[in-house]
Amino acid sequence: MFTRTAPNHHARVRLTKKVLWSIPTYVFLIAIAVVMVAPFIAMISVSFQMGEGVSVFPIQWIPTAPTLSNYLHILQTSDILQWFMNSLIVATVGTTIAIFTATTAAYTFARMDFPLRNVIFWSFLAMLMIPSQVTLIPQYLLLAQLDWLNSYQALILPGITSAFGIFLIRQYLLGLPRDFEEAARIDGASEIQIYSRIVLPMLKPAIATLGTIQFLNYWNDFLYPLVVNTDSNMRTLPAGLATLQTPTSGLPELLAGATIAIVPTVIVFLALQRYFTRGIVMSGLKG
Amino acid sequence: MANSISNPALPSQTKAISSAAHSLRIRRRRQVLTAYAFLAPSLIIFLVFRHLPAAASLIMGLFDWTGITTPEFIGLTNYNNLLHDMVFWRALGNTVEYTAIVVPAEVVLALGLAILLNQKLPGLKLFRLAYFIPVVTATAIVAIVWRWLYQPTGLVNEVLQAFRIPAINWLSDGRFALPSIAIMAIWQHVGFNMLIFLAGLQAIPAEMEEAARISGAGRWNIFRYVTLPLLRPVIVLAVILTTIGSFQVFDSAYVMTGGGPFYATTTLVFYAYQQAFEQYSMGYASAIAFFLFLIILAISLLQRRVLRGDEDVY
Repeated sequence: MFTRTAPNHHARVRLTKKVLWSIPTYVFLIAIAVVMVAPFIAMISVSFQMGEGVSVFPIQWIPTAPTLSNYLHILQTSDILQWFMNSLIVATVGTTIAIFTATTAAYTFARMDFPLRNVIFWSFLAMLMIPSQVTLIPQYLLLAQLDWLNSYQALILPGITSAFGIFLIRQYLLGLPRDFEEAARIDGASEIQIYSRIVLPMLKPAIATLGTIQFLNYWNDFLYPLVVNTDSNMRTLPAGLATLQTPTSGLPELLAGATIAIVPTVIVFLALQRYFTRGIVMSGLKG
Repeated sequence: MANSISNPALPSQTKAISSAAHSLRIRRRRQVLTAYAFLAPSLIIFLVFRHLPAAASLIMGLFDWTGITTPEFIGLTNYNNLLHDMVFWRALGNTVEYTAIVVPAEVVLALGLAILLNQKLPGLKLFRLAYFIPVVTATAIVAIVWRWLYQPTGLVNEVLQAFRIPAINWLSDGRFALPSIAIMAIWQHVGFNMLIFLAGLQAIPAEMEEAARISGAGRWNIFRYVTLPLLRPVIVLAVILTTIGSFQVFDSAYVMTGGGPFYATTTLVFYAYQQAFEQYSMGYASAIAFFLFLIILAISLLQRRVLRGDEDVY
């Protein structure tokens, strides 16, 4: 009767509709992807080109005579290598310390009870509502007083505690069972041992997420490093490049510098994207 | 002590109980000390580099200070001058206009992308990746690239000309300078909101949409009456986050246009930066920064108010 053909027919119509709808979907998605990626491709491509009119459109998307001269020139005539090292040092050291401060703080909030706990917690929460630009000028003056302008600690210190990081880890920790810690405590382990041997390994995914986000935050920060480290050899990559207004070889050389600055972040992202996207999602859903 | 034990039976029992209570207290105190020790690094850094500067910025707005000479208390003069400062009002207007362009465009585009990417089609993960790459790059650096793209002979105009639209002086035309920066911001951050929306969409139980479809609802109605209401918290979150972020715009204004042409891209943070580090009016700049803080605080509190009504959606 009807029952044998009707379901098949409906299923087939739905499948056809799905395939037909997916074509404009893919076209649209590809168009957007092109828009997203094209500026980077143009940047990379022109950075390998030389000569007059090379940076003026229409550009060669694939260079016909690729050359490394822009890279060599900017490496020789500017402090870009120093800026790269500065960014690397600040980001690595800062992120490592940030992980320790965030995990210890989160551990106390998630597992311990002590007087003033709620007060301190809310004061950390309040920090999230204060935009960084508001604390910029007083921080700058404080660093000037301490004679810490143009130093590594000036760049590293303010970022080594992150309220976001503490909440991220705390949230994750609250979802983990306490059994192992309890057992260790009964066995007489000290809090430090419990923290380092049991809690820290359990937190690995959250730590990976926090580490990725914090590293990128350090690397991409602009206003604060711009203001605080004004000596050229102590600048970070974004601040240094931005002040390199007109390199002698003109635009392609600047684009080579931009490529040097961007490529590491993209590599870090692609390698650790799982942790990064998870961090965004967790912070988003939690509000 | 012994008073806390109501019925001391034998002296030996009393001693045993009180010594157990005693060691418990010692352990408890050690735990509290450990808690404070663990908390100390974060707490100290926060106090010194966040709480203190935050309080200081409030007070600094009341002074006239170059940062080098001694500060001079001038009460509310800075704030009064702000009210009469044409550049300040221009900066505020620019920031609001910028936000008004960026937020709706970003949210709508991100929502659309998230819906498209929420299907079970092959290769969608690659798109997710591609859309997120601009998000992880430094705004200051991409601003260098986009400054090049926005040149009169740049890629953006080339694309326009492919559509027979005449070229625009993006960065030097006062009407287009601010939108230029806004467009770049949308390009850079759409992937972020898209990810948040994707997570929100995936958190919606499939049964709800299935139930609607079975009772005959069309795709549009399902979206409008089932999906969208359930997405409301996430949408509000995205709007708030994007708004707060937009109010803080600086990097692109500094790198791409230097606040010009003729203050067209001078934003609140840019103006504060200029006042503090080019004009050495630290007090005045603090007043501007404090004003920015009030705006963002108001938006954050608004978010809590709006979201509180969403707690029983599920």
